[in-house]
Amino acid sequence: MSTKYKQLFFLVEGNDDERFFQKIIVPKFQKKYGTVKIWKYAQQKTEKISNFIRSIKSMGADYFYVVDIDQSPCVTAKKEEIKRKLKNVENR
Amino acid sequence: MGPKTLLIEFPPILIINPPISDLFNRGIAIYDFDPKLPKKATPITGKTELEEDGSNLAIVLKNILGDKEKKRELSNLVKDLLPFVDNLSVEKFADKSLLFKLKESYNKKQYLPASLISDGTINITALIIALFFEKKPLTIIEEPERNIHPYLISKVVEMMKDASNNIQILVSTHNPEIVKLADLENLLLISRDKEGFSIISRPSGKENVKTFLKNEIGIEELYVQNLLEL
Repeated sequence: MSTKYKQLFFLVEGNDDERFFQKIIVPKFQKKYGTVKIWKYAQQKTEKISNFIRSIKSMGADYFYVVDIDQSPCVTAKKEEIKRKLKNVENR
Repeated sequence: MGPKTLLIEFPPILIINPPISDLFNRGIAIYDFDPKLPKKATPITGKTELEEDGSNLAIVLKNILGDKEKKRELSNLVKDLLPFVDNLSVEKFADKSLLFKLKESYNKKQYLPASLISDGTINITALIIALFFEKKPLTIIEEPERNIHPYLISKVVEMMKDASNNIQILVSTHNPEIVKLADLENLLLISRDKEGFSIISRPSGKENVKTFLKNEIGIEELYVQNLLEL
């Protein structure tokens, strides 16, 4: 399969993130990927998010899991928190 | 049909249960019910077949209620979905107009005129008539779930599946509950490409959809998140 048909998913929290990614980020990736899709995970259970990540990984798709840093002291701490919550998320 | 073909030039071919000749002899019915219309009195001289918008519901009901067997069938179907409905009736006025009314189990002494009946109750009554009494070989229904409580939608879908043993039913919907309850093989997704052309696809044939379903992401979730077209 050529790179053109590779799939990319942005997992974003809600509507504000979706608006930003749709307008600014997605167009930057559209030439590199055959499909770029956004999935909103707000109000989804952790298990559902894990299932979603498992699905897109088994499709061979790339993905970004986007979160607000909120009260975390630094990016590393936030990443650790996410990895504790979502066991199958990858850290790159 | 190519992906850039306008549907208006080449209508999609549908898989139809009854023979094509039968379909054209007995006709195709399209329903897009407006529950506000049957709440008004209808002139008795109106069409005896159910109108697309359901405006002549009282006339059609009067004919059904005049036949003992049909009345019993209608009553059973309505009671299955709306157990609080005790009796359906049609009132004739001096100006020769008809008004649909019903009696609820909450108040056995008095009929409720159509103007006081809920939109959902009227929609369900019209749906039952369209599915089981009009019996057009191809029945197309626009958003049958309108004004209906989510709890009842599974019964409405079940009812449509029952009716589809005798007629072909085509339903358009934006409702995730209907998408969830319809079998995957029955779903056709209409989306638009970058040039604005409509594309019809079958989600059941898509590998990505199968992968999501295998990982317990529901079909309704994929629909809500616009992922069925992947």
